[in-house]
Amino acid sequence: MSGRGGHSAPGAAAQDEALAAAVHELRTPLTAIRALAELMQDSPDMDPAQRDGFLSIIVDESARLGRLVDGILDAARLGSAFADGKMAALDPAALLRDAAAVVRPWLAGRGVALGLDLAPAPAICGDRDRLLQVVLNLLSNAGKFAPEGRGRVAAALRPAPGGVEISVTDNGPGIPPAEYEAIFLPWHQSGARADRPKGTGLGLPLSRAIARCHGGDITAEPAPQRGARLVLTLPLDPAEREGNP
Amino acid sequence: MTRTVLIADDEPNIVVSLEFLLKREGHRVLVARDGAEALAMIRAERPSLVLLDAMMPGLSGFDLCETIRSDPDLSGIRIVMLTARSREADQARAMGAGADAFVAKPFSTRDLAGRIRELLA
Repeated sequence: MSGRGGHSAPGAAAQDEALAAAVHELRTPLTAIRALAELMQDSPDMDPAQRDGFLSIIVDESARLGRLVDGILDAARLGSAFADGKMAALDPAALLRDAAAVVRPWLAGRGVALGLDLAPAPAICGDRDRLLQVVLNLLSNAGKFAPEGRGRVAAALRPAPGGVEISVTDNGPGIPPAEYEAIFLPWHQSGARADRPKGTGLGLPLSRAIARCHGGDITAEPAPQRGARLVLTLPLDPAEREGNP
Repeated sequence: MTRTVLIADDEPNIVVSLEFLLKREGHRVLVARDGAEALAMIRAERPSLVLLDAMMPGLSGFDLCETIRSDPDLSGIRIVMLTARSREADQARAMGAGADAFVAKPFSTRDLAGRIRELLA
């Protein structure tokens, strides 16, 4: 497990570990697809309703495989994402508003209210697409855990020492303090709780890796009330630092 | 001959396939979603064979296998360990824990059915 103080970009060992975890995770949908397809092949007299059920599972598991492959490709691209001239000065408030606009319809469909609290904050420097991916992940993660029909997600932007802080708080079941670090491991305890929303298992690890590549971080903190609170910190744009010694 | 077989796996779609396969083989099928539930069902129902996912939440398949093997009341139960981790160390651990067979995911249902027939023969 990485310590709270370790802010290095994902190294070779971490990538090897992520690859091993990815291979493990890919085998689960593959197992269902192969098994069900073989059973259909070997059971020509199968009840049509049963066959339809198997086909639905195969389609769903194929989609799950596709999402996993996308996540793995995202991870593989991490190393090159920051060397292709995409770093630029960004308004963090605009980043948060843009991400909120993307997820708001989905949240509304689940009966989850999204509140934004944007304090004046200085510009940051980053790859907009990557950071948007991170904020989207934090918001959608919160939306998944917030209770359907009476969920609340609160996203706040604040200036912080040397940068800005974007916090996302939900009113879901929360994160046990013992798991504050472990939730950032690939496929941490995947499926350990039957009621846990299913994702690719890569969202938070990738998001943290992207934040760290920007010189920032994501940490889990105690929520003011019941629920989870994840905090993304990002450093100031160098031009801002020079102008604000 | 109909036997009772228990599936212990927390992946519902894999359970669907295993349940169909075992029923097609003519067996009575029990399903547990985690290790603790599986152990309770094994004690209550004494299945002839259990299919254990190695990576279940809580009591893992490895732990459950060791627990079954250390309980004289449960002797004779055949154990097949299923795992999505195909490393040799995992196979060695499964066999060390007392499993009769180790099957890597994704498995062929034809091969798995063959192994189960052999173990129940």
